[in-house]
Order: sequence, then C-alpha cells, then structure tokens
Amino acid sequence: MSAEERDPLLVAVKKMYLELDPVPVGLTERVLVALAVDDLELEYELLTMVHRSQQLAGVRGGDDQKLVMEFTAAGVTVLLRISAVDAKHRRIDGWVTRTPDAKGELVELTASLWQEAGTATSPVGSHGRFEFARVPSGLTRLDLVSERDSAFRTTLFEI
Amino acid sequence: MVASDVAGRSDAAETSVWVRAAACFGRWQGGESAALDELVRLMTPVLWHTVRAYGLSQAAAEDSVQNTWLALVRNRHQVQEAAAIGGWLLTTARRTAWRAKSTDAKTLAVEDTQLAAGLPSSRAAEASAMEELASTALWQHVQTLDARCQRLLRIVAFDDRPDYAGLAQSLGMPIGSIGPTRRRCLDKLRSSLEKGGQL
Repeated sequence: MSAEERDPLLVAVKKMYLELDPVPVGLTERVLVALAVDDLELEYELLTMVHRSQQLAGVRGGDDQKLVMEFTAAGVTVLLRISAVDAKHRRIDGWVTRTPDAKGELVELTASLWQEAGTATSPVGSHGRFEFARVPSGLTRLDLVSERDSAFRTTLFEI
Repeated sequence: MVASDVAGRSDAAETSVWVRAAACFGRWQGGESAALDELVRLMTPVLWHTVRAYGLSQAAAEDSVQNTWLALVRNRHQVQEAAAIGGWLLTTARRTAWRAKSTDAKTLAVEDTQLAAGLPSSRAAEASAMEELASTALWQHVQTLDARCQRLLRIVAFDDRPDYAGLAQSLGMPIGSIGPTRRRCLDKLRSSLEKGGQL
C-alpha cells in the first residue's frame, strides 16, 4: 500500500484541494476561542449545524438580508433567523422543536447567548419561541439550558 | 491506530504531522495547556479537508471541525495513547460530518459547482499562473468522477492511513472494496487526464 500512498496523482489531488478549497481564514482562531470559552463544568450535548443560508427579503441586499441557521442534536432542533437591526446589531428569532421525554413532558428551557461583548438570556416560550431583539454582531454561541440536566450548545458562529 | 502505525508511515512529511500531533497531545495530557493550541493549529487543516470531503457546506464544515475539537476536550480520556490522537480526531470529524450530512436534506449540492466556477478569477491573482492552471485543470477532471470517488480520493489524499472500518461505514461500502475502489478511482482520473492531454 505504501507505493500507492505516494501515488503522485494523489499528491496532486491533495495539492489541488489545498489550493482550491483552502481552510477558511480565521477558522483555527475561532476553534481556539471556542475552546477557551468552553466551561467544562457544564454538561451539554453539542448541537450540529445542518443548514445555514442567506435569504434576501427585499430587492436590495444589506439590511434586508436574513441569515437562517438550523442546528440539531438528539431530540432537539433549533432554527435561528437573524436579521440586521443596524450595521452593528442583530435581531435573533429562534424556534426550538423538541421530542417530549418518556413522561411526555417538556422541561422549561432558557436560551443563553454568549458573545465576546457579554451574555444575554431569553426564556423559551411554550411554543418553543425565543428572541433577542438587539445584540451585537460578531462571534456568537447559543446554549439551551434547563433547571434539570439537559443542556445543548452550538459551536461559535458569526452573525 | 497504534504507535507502530505512526512509526511505519512512509511519507516523511506526513509522518511529521502525525508524530507532531502525538507529541502535542502528550504534552497537553501532561498539563501543558499551550500544547493544545499547537495541536489545533496543526490538525485543523487536515480536519477541514476531511469534513469537506463529505460534501458539507462551508458553514457546516466549520461547525463539524469546531465540534470535533470540543469533543476532544470533553473526551480526552478516550484517547489512551498519544499516538492514536490523529486517528481519533479524523474518525470523530468523519462521524460528525456524516451525521450533519445525513440530517441535512438541504445541504447545498450545487456548492462545488459554484466553487469551481468562481475559482479562476478569485485565485488567479494569488498563485502563479502555471500552478493555478494545473490545479484548476485537475479540478475539472476530478469533477467528472462520481461522488463516491471524489470523496474517497479527497479523504485518502489527506489521511494516508485511514481507519478503514470507519471509512467503509461512512462511505456506505464494504471494507474490502475500499482499496480496489481507490485504485479504480485513481485509474479513472488518470485516464481522464490522459484523454484530456494533461498527462
């Protein structure tokens, strides 16, 4: 197998991907920030981003753009719609969909936002809705925490 | 992956990545917190190319890479031997990517096409014309391969000793067919390049 491992064509394929689909600028730094702000005492499940898209609400871009993101973990789906309040602030509307536990209950959740500038919280309503009317743009992380054991956390994302 | 695997790697450049990763991890386990940063800087590019091979969008791929590192910090005790760290990271990244991919029916299937179309103009300024030509030409030929070939070649290009069992599962193919498929995919690519006068 070692001869095949050095196949020059495979080496060229590697070089091609390095050049044409390079690691995004700042990814390593975002990973380091994510690790630095990860408080190990909190037990949580990681929410995986399954979708992110930019929606144009109007003809013009800029402030009319809405960012839609979807995250999932076992039994939980979170949808975020992010719109611009102004150049430096965002509004976040969130919806949580959950599978009820064995007793058919849904524990109360609080949405908690971590940003470099600080943190903010919002109760998750009975229909799974929560909102942050005006938060700074920039690196953001969402936690969903409950009085009981369950907690969910996203990775850091840019809004 | 065990220590002998790492020692047995034939490619000197590759060996150094795996051996350096093991050394960083060992130092981190020993209490040197800066060694984790070093490990992140060393292995993030490899993880990126691994998760992108599964066809994740840029945003989802970034998310998978971050989740892989968070999983490591939380499960570091799972990695019993420092030499196994490279394999553990790649396996975890593949699993995360696979999960994200299979959950997301909406993943942008067109992204690679868009990427290919946008390449020459955006990259031309920063690379030498000859090198640019070579990689973009190769890209066109890689695009003619089926999705499974593209995925497999990208993974093995960055991970010369993949965990075949995990790879087989996430690619949805029997473990025994990975070696032959890899050869077949390389042959197809080579013949496409020959036909196109690139080789």
